[in-house]
Amino acid sequence: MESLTLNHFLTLSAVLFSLGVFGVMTRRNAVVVLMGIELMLNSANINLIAFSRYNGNMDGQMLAIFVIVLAAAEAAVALAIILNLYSNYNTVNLDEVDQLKE
Amino acid sequence: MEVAIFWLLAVIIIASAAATVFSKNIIYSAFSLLFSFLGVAGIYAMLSADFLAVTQIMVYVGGILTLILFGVMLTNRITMMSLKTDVFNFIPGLTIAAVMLAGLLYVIWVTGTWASDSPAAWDTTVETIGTLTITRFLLPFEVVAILLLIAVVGASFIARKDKQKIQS
Amino acid sequence: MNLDALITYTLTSTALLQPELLVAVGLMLILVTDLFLKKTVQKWISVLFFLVMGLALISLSRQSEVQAQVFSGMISIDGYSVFFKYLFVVSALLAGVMSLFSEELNQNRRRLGEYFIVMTGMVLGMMLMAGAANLLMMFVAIELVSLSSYILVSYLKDDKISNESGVKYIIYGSFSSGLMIYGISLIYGITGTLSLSEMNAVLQNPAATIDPVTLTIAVLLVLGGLGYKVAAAPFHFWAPDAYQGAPTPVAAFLSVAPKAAGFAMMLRFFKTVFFGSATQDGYVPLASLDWVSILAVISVLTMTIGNVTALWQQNVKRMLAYSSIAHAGYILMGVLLLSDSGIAAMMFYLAYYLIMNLGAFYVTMLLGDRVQSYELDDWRGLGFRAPVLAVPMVIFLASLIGIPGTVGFTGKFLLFVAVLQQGSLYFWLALIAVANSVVSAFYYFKVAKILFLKKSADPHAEPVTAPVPAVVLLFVFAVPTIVLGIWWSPLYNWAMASVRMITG
Repeated sequence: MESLTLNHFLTLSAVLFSLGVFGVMTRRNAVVVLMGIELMLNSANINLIAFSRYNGNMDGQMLAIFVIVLAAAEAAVALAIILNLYSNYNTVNLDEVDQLKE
Repeated sequence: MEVAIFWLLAVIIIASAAATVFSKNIIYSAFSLLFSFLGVAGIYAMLSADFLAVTQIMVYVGGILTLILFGVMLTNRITMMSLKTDVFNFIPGLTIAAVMLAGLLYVIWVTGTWASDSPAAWDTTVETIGTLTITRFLLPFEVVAILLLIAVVGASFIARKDKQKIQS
Repeated sequence: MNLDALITYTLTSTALLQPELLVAVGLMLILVTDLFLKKTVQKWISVLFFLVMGLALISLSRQSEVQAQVFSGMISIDGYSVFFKYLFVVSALLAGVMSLFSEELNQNRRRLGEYFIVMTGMVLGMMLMAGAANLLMMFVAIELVSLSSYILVSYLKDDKISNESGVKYIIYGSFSSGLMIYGISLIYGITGTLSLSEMNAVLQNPAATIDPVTLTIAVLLVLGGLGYKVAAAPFHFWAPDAYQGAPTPVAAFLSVAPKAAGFAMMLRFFKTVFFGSATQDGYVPLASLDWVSILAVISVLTMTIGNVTALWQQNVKRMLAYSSIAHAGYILMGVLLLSDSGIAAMMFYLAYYLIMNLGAFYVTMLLGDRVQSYELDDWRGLGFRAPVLAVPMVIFLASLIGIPGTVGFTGKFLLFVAVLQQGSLYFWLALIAVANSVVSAFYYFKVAKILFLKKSADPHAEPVTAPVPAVVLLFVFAVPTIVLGIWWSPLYNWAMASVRMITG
């Protein structure tokens, strides 16, 4: 059996990233969109950590830690805004929220 | 052995990520996300990033996912069966994601020349990370502290219900 | 590094970051004071905010000669970043004063504490953006700014429109920061480092094999994040929605300060990483990335989309949003030239753009608050009802078009000269920009026409006035718009001197 290479990890992360992008672009529910964004951030982290391991320096892992922290902060603020949206519009479907027009 | 574990984790991650973005039921989405996060933590462990694997479980699964679940609960009336969520922009979204995937795979497999190709051996990363946090990465570490403060202030301000509003 | 040396190093680094430190300490002071302040004396929290910003200005003025990299190469302090830090602090001061006159923010005794806390955090983030010399620092700083702006945009939380723009803003924002971090991860994979100057060393090393396609894709992804901050196409979709829904002072602030921060960061990133040693006036690009073509395409797209879409906008805030997208397109020309004169023209442009655009938004806010509408149709004949407000508006609009006599003309002139200096290859770029300026005249004039040439629907409408302090502030914006148009060389020379001080 072949052994593991860097490309295995990169491919996994590329697939995960594309799934995240797909989720962000196609889902109507703002909370699911948020999940797609988390998938994108996770895939970037896989990249960072794989590179960190194969490059032999820690910078990538450090950046991954910061990304996790920032993801948490962003999720908190996003959910606060989404909750507020829900209490004003009674929906979190992005296509139903359309007061802003050309 | 290693390769087999990798494929197992990869299948778990991709399958549950796909379930997250394709599932029509938002609860299924949220729970598949859990398996995706756990699988990614396994990948981190395989890459000998032990600290990050633990952080991934604690912050993503314990924090972010819980938040998202709260979001799901608070923005959907479960009794009203409004849990189904639809999809829009299906074709453009699929096209863009597919083009992006093709581009990335091309870059990775055909043209990719990465800085190094020999995995380094590490025992445990916790001590190194601790040292780096207070030396080279001190400034971003402090800035992140302020960022979290702002996030807390902002999120609690926005999510809080005003007194007048509750009365009315 | 032993502990003593570490402490000494940290203290020296901190001393050099004095302005940032002041802002950070100020943030916590505002936070604590806000807890103890009674709701009736809410407005006093703004005094503290102005005090902090004023102190930051003083501390900045003592940094004009500093040139250093501190905190292990995380951040550079040089004339270039100091120039931008002035812009951020000044625009925060002006936007802060604007907020005090805003009806939206002050009705129902809305809490202002959080508003100023978040704004202070945003200023801190932008100051760090201007200096960041490491991809990690860049990412953290850009996220601090983004997070603060999400909160500020959705600040009117019982207002539906503010809500909607907040959600759209944070979703676009998180998406583009996802793209950016993925791009950063690829760049890290290619070069094996996060530090900009080390990256440059790797790219310059003839032994290294760098694949141009991989690098281009990685840089495009990073540009996703940066382009989002400056509202460049195709990452501009958020801007009209966010500006229209946000409280007007916030929209004004967002249209100038984070944009300047984004450009500051973009330029430092490209200049440090992808260019060899500087020659006389111009830089030697490394062969691995054709970044001029990439940015030229983005620049043309951005200005054209911005100007053309602005033509049929009926909402003034939305129109100004598209206009600010268009201006981002012009400014990008200064970035892609990568000549000293191009960078100086860009900095000059950003500096006066701050004044005239804040001014335009300010008048929009005053008029909009008084007639309770931002729709152009409701503004008919408003010029005669409120000459004190409408005449400065015309000045700002003239400057935004670039009519001679205003600073807008000087800025565009300097920019076009810088473009043409680079040789005939760039001729078409300048030509498109001039054509765009002509197009932009139509919609700017439309506002002036509606203010002065159209009859009001109700002939007996009351005159519209604003409180005296609000009018005084208006002149703070209007006078420099004229004066800088004639007496521009000091500002330009300062920008030029700052360019020469960019350190890696």
